Amino acid sequence: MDTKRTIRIAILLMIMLLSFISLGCNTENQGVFKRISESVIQVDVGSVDLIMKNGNKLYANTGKSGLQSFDTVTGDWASIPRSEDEAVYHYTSDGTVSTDGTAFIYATGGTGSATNDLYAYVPGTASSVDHTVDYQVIAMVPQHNLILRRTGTGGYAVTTIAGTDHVTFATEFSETIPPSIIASNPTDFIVTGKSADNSKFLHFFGSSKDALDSTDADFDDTALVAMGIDGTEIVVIDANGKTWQGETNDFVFDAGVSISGWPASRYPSDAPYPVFTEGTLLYLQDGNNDFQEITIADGIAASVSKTAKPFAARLANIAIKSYVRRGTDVYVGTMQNGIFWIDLSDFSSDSF
Amino acid sequence: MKKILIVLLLCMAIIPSMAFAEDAVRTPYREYAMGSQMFTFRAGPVIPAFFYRPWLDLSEGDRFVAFPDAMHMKVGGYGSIRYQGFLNSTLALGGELGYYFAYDIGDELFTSVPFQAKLTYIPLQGTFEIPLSVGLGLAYNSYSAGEKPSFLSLLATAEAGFSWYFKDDWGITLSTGLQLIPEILGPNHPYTTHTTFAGFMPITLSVTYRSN
Repeated sequence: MDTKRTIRIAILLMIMLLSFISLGCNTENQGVFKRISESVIQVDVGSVDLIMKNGNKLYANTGKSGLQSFDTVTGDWASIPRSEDEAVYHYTSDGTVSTDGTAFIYATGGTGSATNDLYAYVPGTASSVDHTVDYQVIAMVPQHNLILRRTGTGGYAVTTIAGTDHVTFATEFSETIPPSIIASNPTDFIVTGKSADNSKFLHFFGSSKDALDSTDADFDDTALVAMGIDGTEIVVIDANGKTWQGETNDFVFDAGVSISGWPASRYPSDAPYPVFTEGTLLYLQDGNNDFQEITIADGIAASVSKTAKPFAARLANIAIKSYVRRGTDVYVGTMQNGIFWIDLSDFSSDSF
Repeated sequence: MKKILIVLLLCMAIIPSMAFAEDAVRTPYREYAMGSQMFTFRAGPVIPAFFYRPWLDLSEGDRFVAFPDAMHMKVGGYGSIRYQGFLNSTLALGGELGYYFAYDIGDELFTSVPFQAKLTYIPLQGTFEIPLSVGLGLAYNSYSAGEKPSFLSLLATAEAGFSWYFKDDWGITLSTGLQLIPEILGPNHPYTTHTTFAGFMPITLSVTYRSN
C-alpha cells in the first residue's frame, strides 16, 4: 500500500516537474543567457534619435542630453552650442543618402495650439540661429527635410526647411487628431491620419497627393507607420504590423502578411517605426530585437522573414531608435547603447 | 631521580583520568543525531563562472565563455534561508530558498529565485566543521531587457564550506561552490541552438543556529 502511494506521489511530482520544465522551455525569446552574453555597455546619453551626418560627425537628439554631436573618429559626444535652452520636440535636416546635411532645424516650445519656435543649427559655423519662420509643428522627419505643420483650422501642410510646401491638406484630416508623416526620402512620403469626421484613416502619397487605397477595408482602420519604395514598387506597414504592397502607378494596395514579433504595445501606437531600405528589401527590428526583411514588391506574395545577414546577430540585444543612411553606411541610433553602423556592402555591423 | 620518576608516573596517571572525568561531565563538541536541526541565513557575492552552449553555431560566438568579462555579466549577490534536519550524525536534509541578482554589462538585471532540496554531509565536526552540500531544485529566472523574458529552470548546486561555532548553538560558515542553471530551448524552439548551461559561483558567509 505504501509502495503504491509512493509511486503515485512520484508520478505526480514528475508531472509537476515536467510541466515546470515545459513552461520554462516554451519561451519564444532568443535565450536569456545568450542575450546576456551579447549585452552591450550603456552609453549615458540615453536614446539616440539621429538627425544627420556632416563630415565625421553625426547629429542626434538624445534622451538624456538633448541635442548632441558624435564624432565617428574619436567616439566623443558633445553638446551642440545653442542660442536658447528649451526642450526640443522636433527636428529635420537637409541631408540625403548621397549628400551630407549642411543644417538641421529644430522646434522648441509650442505645446497645444501654440506656434513652435524654430531654430537652425549649422555645423559649418557651429551655432544655432532663429529660423526664418516659425510654424505650429505636428511632426518632422529627422533625416528627410520634411515638416508636417498645421496651417489653420483642420488644415495641414508638408513643408521643407526652405519653406516650400510639398502639399497642403485643407479639409481631409481631423482637426482634433492630427495626422502623422512617414518617408523614404525627401520626396517619397505619406501623410496618414484620421479623416475629418474621425470615421476612418486616410493616407496620401507625396506632393501629388495620391490617395492610397485597397479593396481590403482593414487598410482604413489604422495609421501607417513605415514605408519602403523601390522604383514603382512600394510597401507600407500599418500600426498593427501588417504589411501592404502596391505600386505607385495606381496606389492600390494588397494586404500582405503581418510581421511576427511586432511590438505588443507602442506609445503612441501610430508613431513612425524606424526602418531602412536597401535595394528591394526593407529592414526593421521587431519587438524581440530580431531583424525582419520585407520584400518591396507588389502583390501578396511578397515575403516577410527574419534576416540572416550578419548585422542582425550583432544587434540582436540592442534596441534601436533610429537610422540615418549615408552612401552604403547605415548609422544606427540605439535606445541605450550609443551609435552603431551597418555596412551595406557586406551587411557587417559594429559600434564606434 | 626515583622521586622525579614517581612524580611523572603519578602525573601520567592523574591527567588522563582528569580528562576522562571532564568527558563524563561535558561533551567537547555538539554531536548531531536524528532530529537535530540547523537554521542558516546566507549572503554573499556571486561570480559568474561560465556559459556553455553546446549546440551554438560558431558564427554566433564561442560555445564556452567563462568569468565576468567574457560572459558580459557583472559580479552579483545571493541571499538565502535554509532549514535542515539531521538524518543521522553526519547527514542533514532540508530545503533552501534564495534570491540571486546580477547585472549584465548593459545594466540590465538578471534575477533568479532558486528553491532546492539540500543534502549536507559533515565529515568533520566540532568547534570547526566542514559541511559539504549538494542541492537539486528549480529556479525562476527573469531578465529585465527587451520583452522582459522569464523562465523556470532546473537547478543543481554543490558547495563546500568551513564553519566555526563560536558558541555551542551559533556558528558562522564561509562557503563556495557552483550553481548550475540550464536554459533548455527545446528542439522546436526557433533558437534551440541557444540552449545554455550557466554556472555561477557564490561565495557566502552564513550564520547558523543549531539545536538538538
